[in-house]
Amino acid sequence: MIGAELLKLVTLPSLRWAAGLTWVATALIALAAHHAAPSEDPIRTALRWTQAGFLVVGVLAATQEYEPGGQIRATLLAAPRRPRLMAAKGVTVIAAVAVLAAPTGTLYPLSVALVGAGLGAILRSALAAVAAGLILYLVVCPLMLGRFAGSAPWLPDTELLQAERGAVAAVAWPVAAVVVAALVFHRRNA
Amino acid sequence: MISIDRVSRSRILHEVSFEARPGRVTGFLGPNGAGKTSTVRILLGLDRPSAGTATINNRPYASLPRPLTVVGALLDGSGAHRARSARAHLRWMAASNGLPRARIGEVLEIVGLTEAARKRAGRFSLGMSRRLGLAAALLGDPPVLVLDEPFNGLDPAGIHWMREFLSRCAAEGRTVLLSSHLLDLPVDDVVVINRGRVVAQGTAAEVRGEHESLEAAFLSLTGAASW
Repeated sequence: MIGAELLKLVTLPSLRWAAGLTWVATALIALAAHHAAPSEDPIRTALRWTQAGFLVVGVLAATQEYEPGGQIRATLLAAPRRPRLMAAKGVTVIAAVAVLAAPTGTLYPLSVALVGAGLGAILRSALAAVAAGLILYLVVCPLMLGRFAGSAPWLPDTELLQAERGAVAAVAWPVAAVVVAALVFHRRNA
Repeated sequence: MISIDRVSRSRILHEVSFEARPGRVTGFLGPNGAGKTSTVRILLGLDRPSAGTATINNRPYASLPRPLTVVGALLDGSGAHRARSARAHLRWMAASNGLPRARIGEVLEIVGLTEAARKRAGRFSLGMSRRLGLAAALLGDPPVLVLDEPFNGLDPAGIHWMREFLSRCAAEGRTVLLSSHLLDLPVDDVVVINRGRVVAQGTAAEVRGEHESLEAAFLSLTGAASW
C-alpha cells in the first residue's frame, strides 16, 4: 500500500513541479539572504516565504484524490480499509517531504506540509485548502503575533522564528490537522 | 456470489435484497434515480448503509485482503487522475494489491488501449475512459465483476464489444452484476428496482412473464407505462 501511494506521488506532475519550484526558490532566496544578512540563518529566512511551497506539496498530495476522474474511488476499491489507507498515506507524505526538506536541515517544512495535507483531505479542493493554509500562515499568524505577543508558543510558525519556543506548536498543529482529517475521512461516504 | 440482504439507506433504499450468482449475468435494472448506483456503492464499501448487509462470497468488500483479486468494479469515470498516464494509473493500482506488473500490458490489450498507454487520462475520450476503468477492474483477474452503467459513453462498436465481453465472462464462470437503465441486454437474471425498492426479480424469462418483451415488463413494473 505504501509502495502504491509513493508511486502516486512521484507520477503526479503538479506535485513534481511544486516540489521543484519550492526547492529552487528556497535555494535562491537563501543565497540572497546570506549576502544581505550573513548573521542570520539564510535557510530559515528563505523558508518564511517558501513554506508556502511545502504547504502546496502537502495539499496536492491529499487533493489529487478528489480531482476530476474520481481517483478516490479507485483508491478505496484497491484499499477499502480506511484506517490502514490513512496510515499508508501519512507515512508516504512524511517520507516524501522529509526527503524534500532534508537539505534545509530542519523538520519545519514537514510540519507545514502535513497541515496542508490535513486541510486538503478535509476540504477536498486544492484551491480551498491552499487558500486556507496561506491565510493561516501568512495572515492569521503574523496578526496574532503582532497583537498578542503571548500567543507565540501556540502558533504553528513560531518554530521558524524562535526554534526553542515553537517546537510544541509545530508538532501539535500538523497532528491535529491529520487526526481531524482521518476522522472525517473514516466517516465520510466517498 | 453477491448477496444484498435487506440493505436500506435513508430515503434512497428500502430493504433491497437480491443475489447475483456465478456463471450468470445479472442485470440490475431501473430508471435513473432508482437506487442502482447507491446499492452498488454500498456493495463496494464506498457508502454506508443505514441497515442491512452486502457481501461478496460471504464477506463485506472492506474485509477482502486483496480486493482487486476478488472483485473488479467499474464506476462512473475512469478513476484515473487526469495528469497520469493510463499505464501509471494501472501501475499504482497493481502495486496496491501486489499484482504483477506484466498484467498491466495484458489488461490494456484486452480493452484495446495498448496504443494509448502513455497518454494522459485527462485527454481520453469518454469511451476510452470507460475502457481504462474496465482495464483497472480486470487487473486482478477477478471472479466477480460489478459494473455500474458499463454502456454509458460507448459507441456502437464499444457496446457490441462490451456485450460480448460480459457474456464471455459469465461463460467463464464469473459472477457479473451490471446496473443499467438500458433493457436490451444479454442478461440471464434480472432485478428491477424502482424508487429504492426491488419490484421484481428472477430469470429474464420469469420477469418478462406475460409481457411481450423485457422492456414492456419493465415499463409496467416501474409505472412508466403511463407516459
